Amino acid sequence: MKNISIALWTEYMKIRKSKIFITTLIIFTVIPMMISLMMVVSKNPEIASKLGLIGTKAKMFGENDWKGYFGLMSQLIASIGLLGFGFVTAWVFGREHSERTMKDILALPVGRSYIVFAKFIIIFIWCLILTVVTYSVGVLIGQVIDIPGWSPALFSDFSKSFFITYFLTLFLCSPVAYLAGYSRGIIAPLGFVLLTMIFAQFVGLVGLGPFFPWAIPGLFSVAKDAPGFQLHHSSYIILALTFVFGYLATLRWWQHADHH
Amino acid sequence: MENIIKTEKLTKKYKDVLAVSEISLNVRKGEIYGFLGLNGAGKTTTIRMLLGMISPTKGKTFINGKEVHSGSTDLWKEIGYLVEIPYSYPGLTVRENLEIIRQLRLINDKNAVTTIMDKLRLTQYANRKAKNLSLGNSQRLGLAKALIHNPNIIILDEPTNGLDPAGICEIRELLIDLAKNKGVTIFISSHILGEISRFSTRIGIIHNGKLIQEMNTSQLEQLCQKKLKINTKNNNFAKSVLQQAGIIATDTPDNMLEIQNETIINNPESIASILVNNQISPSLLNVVEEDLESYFLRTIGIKGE
Repeated sequence: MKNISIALWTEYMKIRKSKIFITTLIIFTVIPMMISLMMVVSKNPEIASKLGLIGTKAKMFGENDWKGYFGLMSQLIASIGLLGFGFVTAWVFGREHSERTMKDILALPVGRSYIVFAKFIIIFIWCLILTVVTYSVGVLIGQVIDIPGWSPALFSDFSKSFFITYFLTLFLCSPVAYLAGYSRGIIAPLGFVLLTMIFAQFVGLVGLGPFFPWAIPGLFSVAKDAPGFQLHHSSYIILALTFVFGYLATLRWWQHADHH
Repeated sequence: MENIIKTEKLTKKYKDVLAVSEISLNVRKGEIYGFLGLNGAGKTTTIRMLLGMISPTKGKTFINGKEVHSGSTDLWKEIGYLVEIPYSYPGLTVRENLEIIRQLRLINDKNAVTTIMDKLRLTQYANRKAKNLSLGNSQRLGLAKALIHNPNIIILDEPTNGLDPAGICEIRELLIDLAKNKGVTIFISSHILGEISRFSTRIGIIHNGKLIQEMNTSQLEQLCQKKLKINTKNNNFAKSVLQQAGIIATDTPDNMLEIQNETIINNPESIASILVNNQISPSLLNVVEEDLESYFLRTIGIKGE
């Protein structure tokens, strides 16, 4: 237990002063603000007609009410979360290579498995903070711009869906961590995240989304009852197995790969 | 004497490249073992195998009698290390970087960071971010991380890289003090024989992945060749005169003559007499000792092929 708390503390120290942490916070704050702006535009057709392209984009809500707004927020955490959480994971694991500090943490009394575990915990916490920020800012600004159709039941459903989507998206970070080690850097895992995002779109089109891990959080966040979009129990098992395999691969790589 | 570091036929092969080939060495307690080799000779690969960062293709490594594995943790409590150019978390200060290592090394003494900064003259840079340090101070920070826990065994890969002459001297004194007064065992690599011979007790020379020679530093002077260098107004004539007297002199790249016969080197007056008796006045008659770098290059040239 002592080793885990020490590894956690040192990982916290490493991100505490990093500009990346602040930058991700800003990005995850700005994104719901932009959605709110689109809602304002959508609610006011006279502004929409003046803005041209933005006006068209603003029609993405379906209905200009809390239901439409919450729906887009949930999709947002699935898509931006996939990218953002992937970036956070790539950075937490990949920085040891890009900053060439890896060799300092390989021959220590605190084992490598503790360091890997601590890095995942830090990623979960970091991503949770980003999720809470997006959620809070989104809800707060929604109240400020006075979106119609609020109900406690709707809010409760949205909150549940939003945080479950966060949780499902987190499951996809372990393969990214493995790739950060395997490629010894940040670029390859980021490329992988982008590739899986694109691939998830194609897989979704042919109806295999529920069986492709990178499409599952997105499907969970959208119309769950539409044909071809329905998630099965196996979908959640696939997602959990993806995390487990990614975690074990990361651990094995840290323990047994040659570290140059 | 107790073997602290021991390797048995340590070998590392990358596809077709044999980086390290069957290195067997022993480093005894309190010894400063200088591991000498050119860049790419296999020093860093050997050191990484000693530290469990790379798995050997063949062979074993033992530290304090325990076999080194990639998952070892207990072993590292007593070992301080620095591999190649030290890097630190650039956005963190010197103190924060050391604090991270203090925690990961499970050091309870909260003053350990301050103490090591004092010892390595880093106190004035305590609050400076690592990315703003000079190369020499980055090296000091790397050494501070290696020494913060007062290790019994220190493994250092080119630790004086980037240090100015005063810094090199300071680190040398520190390592000698640790070995002599605290019984610390030190394994140190370098590509500069002159530097390493000043504080090592024993030296191993690695070339093309093979350990080609081991010696005590005290033997080193005897191994360096001596030559008698001669210069006259007419070296060709001097050479033929010496040849008639049964002495072989060879031309040097700087248009002089040299004799490698040990008896004559110990009695250069005999050459002076022969030359003067033949109306040749030598302008230079000097016994030159091979420097350490020449010895090193000669050794790897002869034995490394």
